[in-house]
Amino acid sequence: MSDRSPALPDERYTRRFWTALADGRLLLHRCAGAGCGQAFFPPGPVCPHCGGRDVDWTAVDPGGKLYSFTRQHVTPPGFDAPLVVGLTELAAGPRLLTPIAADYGALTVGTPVEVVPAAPPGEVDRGDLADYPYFEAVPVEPE
Amino acid sequence: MPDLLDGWPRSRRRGHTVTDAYITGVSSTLDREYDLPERDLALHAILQALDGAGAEPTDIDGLYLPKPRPWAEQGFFSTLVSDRLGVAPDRRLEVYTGGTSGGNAFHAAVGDVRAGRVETAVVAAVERNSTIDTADYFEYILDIFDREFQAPAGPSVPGIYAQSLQRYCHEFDADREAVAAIAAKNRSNAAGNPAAVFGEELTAAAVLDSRPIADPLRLLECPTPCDGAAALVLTAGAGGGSSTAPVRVSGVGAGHATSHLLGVRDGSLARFPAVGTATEGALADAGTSADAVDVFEPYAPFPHVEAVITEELGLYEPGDGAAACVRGETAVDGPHPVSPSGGCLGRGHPAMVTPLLNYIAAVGQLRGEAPIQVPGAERALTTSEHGHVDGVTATVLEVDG
Repeated sequence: MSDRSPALPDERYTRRFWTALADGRLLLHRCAGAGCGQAFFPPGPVCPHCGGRDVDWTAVDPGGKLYSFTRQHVTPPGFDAPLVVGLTELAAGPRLLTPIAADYGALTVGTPVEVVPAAPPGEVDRGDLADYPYFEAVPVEPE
Repeated sequence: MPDLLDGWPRSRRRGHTVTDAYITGVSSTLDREYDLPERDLALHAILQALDGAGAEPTDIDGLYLPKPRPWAEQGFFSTLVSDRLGVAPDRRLEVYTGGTSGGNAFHAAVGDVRAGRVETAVVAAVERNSTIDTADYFEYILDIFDREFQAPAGPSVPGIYAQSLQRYCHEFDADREAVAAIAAKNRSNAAGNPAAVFGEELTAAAVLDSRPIADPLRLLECPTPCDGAAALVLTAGAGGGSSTAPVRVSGVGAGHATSHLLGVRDGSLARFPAVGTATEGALADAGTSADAVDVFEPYAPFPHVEAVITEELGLYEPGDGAAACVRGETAVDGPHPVSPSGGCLGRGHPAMVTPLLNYIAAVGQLRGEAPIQVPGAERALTTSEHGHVDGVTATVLEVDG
């Protein structure tokens, strides 16, 4: 027996992430109920930490630290080189791959950043998400 | 229920009737560019490997291939190859899991031989990177990332490995030049391997002088795609047709982390837990340990990957794998020789073929026929990996002394 709906959803699972982002909010997932309680990304129906299926949306602080970063001198078609991308580790825990709105030379591991809505840095066919903003990491003053 | 036979060599498992799989024939070809269809490269490799095994195409009752890359013109490749070889193997498999495709094809063949389902298996792979231009390749690579959440950022494969290199140096205080020394070692090893495409005697300083591809990774730390094909014949029992020492597949193992190109959520981007899982499985299956392996031919497309593999094997502490190379410990005459063939960096890297090239390099070592020979090598370990080492296969090969 399950109290989960047997029907297929009528829209993509992750739609709420994108509508919230367009609103300036970072809405991820958190393992709920008897699960491990950890926030995770990308949103999905199973907690990747403990396998729990009682998961829910959770708004998190967009602040975090740069976990790692690179400057790509060779880029996919539709992306100008060089391209600075990196992994932001949010204070809430999850890491996101993001473009970084900063010069490579100004960055170090641990640079404080915020993940904010932004236009994607290049041309990728995003299908029915084309009208939603993507995101990027922006360095902020340390608290 | 735990496997109570863990750690016991297969041959000593009383009551278990397991047939050993032996590599009795090998063939490979590698160059910057071949102006031949994939079909002809594959058929040439398969027939050469059969000749080495003293077998005929009609002996083949299992055929296992990585599915050729999406840009190969010919689809339904294993069906076509079977037809051209005039064979009708009941067991036939084309597998595509990125860089582990060749490892998974090989392990499927080993499993069938061990189970008695197949007596003469052929594992073959072919790849032509000369037929795809850089833009189309990058477009393909973008699609291996999460299309919704990762691809719009514009990542590349070197771009992701550059970030694990940043973490490797940051977390373990690893010396950047020591990491470059691994690339220099492998390209220098390849200079002594006539079958390698990108060998040249190099210093770590010269590696760091090459142009940046994805900071901090430099050009000479990135593998160069090329064209190639390879085939191996696996037989149940050592057989009598082969004129060279029979090489036994003594251990197979596989691992996959909960990750998709960005590392595991609970740990460091500079650790590759799937390597630990896969190699532990393969070593236990072989009833041996990493310390008792004479030579390693890993799938390490970037230099810090080789370092982390030796660390995951337990040979070195995290961060010390790169320093071990500088100390000469992973050189051909060191205690743990790694990539004497030149590996992905020096030999050339057609990803579908690379796992087979690693097996063949190991077979050369165990037969005492390698161009850069580890004296007296009797046990070898190889790996394959895909993504950002998300998934791994490991294999132990031995000559029965």
